[in-house]
Amino acid sequence: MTSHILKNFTPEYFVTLFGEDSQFIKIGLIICTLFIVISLFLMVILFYARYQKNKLNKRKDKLNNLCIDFITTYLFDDQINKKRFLKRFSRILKNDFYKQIATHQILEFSNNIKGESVEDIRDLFKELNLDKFNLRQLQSHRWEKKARALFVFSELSIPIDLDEIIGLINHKRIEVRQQCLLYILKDAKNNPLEFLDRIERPLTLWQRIYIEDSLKNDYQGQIPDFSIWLEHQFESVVVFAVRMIGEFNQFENIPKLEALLNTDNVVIKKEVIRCLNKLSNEAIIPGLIQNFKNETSGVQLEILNLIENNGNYEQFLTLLTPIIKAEDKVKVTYFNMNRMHFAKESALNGDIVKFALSEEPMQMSTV
Amino acid sequence: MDAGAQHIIEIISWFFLYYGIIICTGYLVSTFFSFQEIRDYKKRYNFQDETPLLKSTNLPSISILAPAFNEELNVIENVSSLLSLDYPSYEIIIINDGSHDGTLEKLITTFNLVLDETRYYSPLETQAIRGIYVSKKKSHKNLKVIDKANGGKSDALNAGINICANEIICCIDVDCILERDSLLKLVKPFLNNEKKVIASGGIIRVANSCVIDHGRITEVKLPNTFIARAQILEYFRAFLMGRMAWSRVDGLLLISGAFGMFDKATVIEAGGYNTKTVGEDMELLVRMRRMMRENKTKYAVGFVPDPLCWTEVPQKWKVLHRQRNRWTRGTIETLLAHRKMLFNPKYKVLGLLSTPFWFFFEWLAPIVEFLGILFFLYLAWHGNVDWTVFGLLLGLVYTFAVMFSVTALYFEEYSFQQYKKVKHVFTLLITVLLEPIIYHPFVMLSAIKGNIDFLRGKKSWGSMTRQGLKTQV
Repeated sequence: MTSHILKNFTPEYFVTLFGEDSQFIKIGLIICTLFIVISLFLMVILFYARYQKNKLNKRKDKLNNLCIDFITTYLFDDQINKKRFLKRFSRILKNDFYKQIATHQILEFSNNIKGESVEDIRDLFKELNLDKFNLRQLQSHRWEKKARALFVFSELSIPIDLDEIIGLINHKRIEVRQQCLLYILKDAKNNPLEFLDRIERPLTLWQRIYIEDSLKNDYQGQIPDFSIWLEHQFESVVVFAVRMIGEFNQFENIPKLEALLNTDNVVIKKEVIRCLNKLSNEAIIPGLIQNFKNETSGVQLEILNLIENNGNYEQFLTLLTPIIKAEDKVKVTYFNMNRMHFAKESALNGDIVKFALSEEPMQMSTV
Repeated sequence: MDAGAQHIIEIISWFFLYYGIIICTGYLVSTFFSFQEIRDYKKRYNFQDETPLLKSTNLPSISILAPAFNEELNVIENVSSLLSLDYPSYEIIIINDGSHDGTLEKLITTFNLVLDETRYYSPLETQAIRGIYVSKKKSHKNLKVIDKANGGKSDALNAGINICANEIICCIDVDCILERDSLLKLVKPFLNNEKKVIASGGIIRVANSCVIDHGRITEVKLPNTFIARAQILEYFRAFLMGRMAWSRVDGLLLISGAFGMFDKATVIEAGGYNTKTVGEDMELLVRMRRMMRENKTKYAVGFVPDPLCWTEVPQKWKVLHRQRNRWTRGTIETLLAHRKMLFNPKYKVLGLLSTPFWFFFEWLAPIVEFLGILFFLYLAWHGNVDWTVFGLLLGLVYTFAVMFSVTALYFEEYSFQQYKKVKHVFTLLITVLLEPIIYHPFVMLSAIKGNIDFLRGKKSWGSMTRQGLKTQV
């Protein structure tokens, strides 16, 4: 049977198939041919892309080395005629690719040098017209070009017209928003977080980390009073402000933080207790103990943490009654605190906590 | 053959044809979405310095949970490699799931472990915990070992969830090789999202034949065996094309058990890992997403296309058969447990797109294919086959399979280009041509066996013998 079937598949047979009346066969053959063509095309593209990538990498390496040599000579060799040297190099930067590489190398240098040379590298950036190139990128409709240009300007602290970028604070892409916030922050002489009053979307944790880092390491002016954002519309901004009060030891804001403890927002409340804990505020403990039984388990755990760091055994013991009605995870934490942190005091008092809690059923690891 | 029978045969033939067309269209659409997602990802994170993240005390701490069962041979090297990840704050919890060999003893001796007296809140039920160990060495203070009675991978992970200290957990297979920055990359979706992120998954790569030094991949090589190379293609298709596309439309139903990050509170609220299924990774994510939807809480699931985790794939047909058999049973169990979601608009993309796709094209596809072969044999037996049409359809299916795999290879080239040598690409292209003829039928038959075993009520994992990823420099 097989040989009978194979006999039919002659070259003439395939040629005549296209002439068949059956639309089904025709369409099928066309699609099949299309799949083969696409597969072959992708195979070619695959190797071509590999070839291009290798070629591009070689070019990139060559240009990177050229840039490194040029920048090093320009910055540190006093024997050369800088103007002529600059002019010669400018001619090399003929397209966007070359300009991107040069920008990248200038950023690398600016990250690795200090002192007067930083100013020189900024001048060089302008002399090579890379500021104009990046401004064009900033005006592009493509978000990734905008974000990258903002990143470059902010890394090199190149002043740009704020009116041009202020609208980007609420750009639809988070990457652009983030770079815009960081630029404004680094560029600010005072009031670096003014943008918080203009934002229309909450801050992500990622943004908060970068803003905190920038405040600590890049911003040169006076640190703002973070309490002005304690009533911000976004929970994320309030949490950030509370955290910064703790990070920058703004003890003068403790009364405002205490007032914030009346909030119904558990996330903010937890952050406030954490902050007061960091600021070693023990005065708040009696009030928190009094309201302990009404708190959520998350807040209760923060209160226990606060007592562990800033409270005493008497305060710890006062919680025994509400703890019995608390959730298991709070009970277990309390139990561990008694055994580890207050072990001595507990032993002197006949281990009341262990005795009381041993009667309580708990979801607890038992070894 | 009478007219009635002929009519039925025609209907069945058209059913197979339409089924094939729909499945191919589905793959083409997924190709489009995954390309967009990869392109977007490449633009997103390619310039910013990550040092502030590594320095930040604001970065959430992570607990790595790694169940170990009879891992005596490699456990020390694997744990040492985990101890040297680039992340400011993380703990490692190794769960010795009742190993019969010297896994625990080796860990105790090497890392100077002592019993931990601390009590832990344990919201998830597990098999008995025999001991919790911590290291006396300051350099290993972030290492904990749980020794428990054997209860399977899910049970071990639940024990780890109970004991771990941090709000974000990263569940891994202990024998996986993680990239140094894998935690930092996988946690990004948790950081950079306005919604609550409940889980984040990454791409799994094949480590067979790669050069490994001190628990790190130093050179990516192509495996020597066809079966492993075919799995490389399969992983490209599954991760670079499938999951990327599902991630784009927010329809991801599976984060690989080998490497996934979760929000601990949500996992506990959902009830932890299901110990009664062999597809625990998929089942957990589906249950979490279902719960969030039913609670009307806004949430997101992240997916990171970077190659962050490397694993050893089966090199023997027998082992591969067992693995695919288990995957099939896991899929069926999950889909049946959450059948309420199927075509249910309440679950949006998950109900209208993801679960129907998994039902029709992941569960039923091998069955339909197998029935198609039987139907063809029946027709051939009765001399009722139009050989021209048969040849044409066979050609169509084969060329589509080749085109789809070549596209996957192109996506890899476009995105991460892990196989640097041109000869590797050539070898993979040859594998592309052979895979639909040799590898695919085998995988299809394994899935059929999985369906039969499911009907028989088989619940076991089946042993997963590995060759072992030896250090080779």
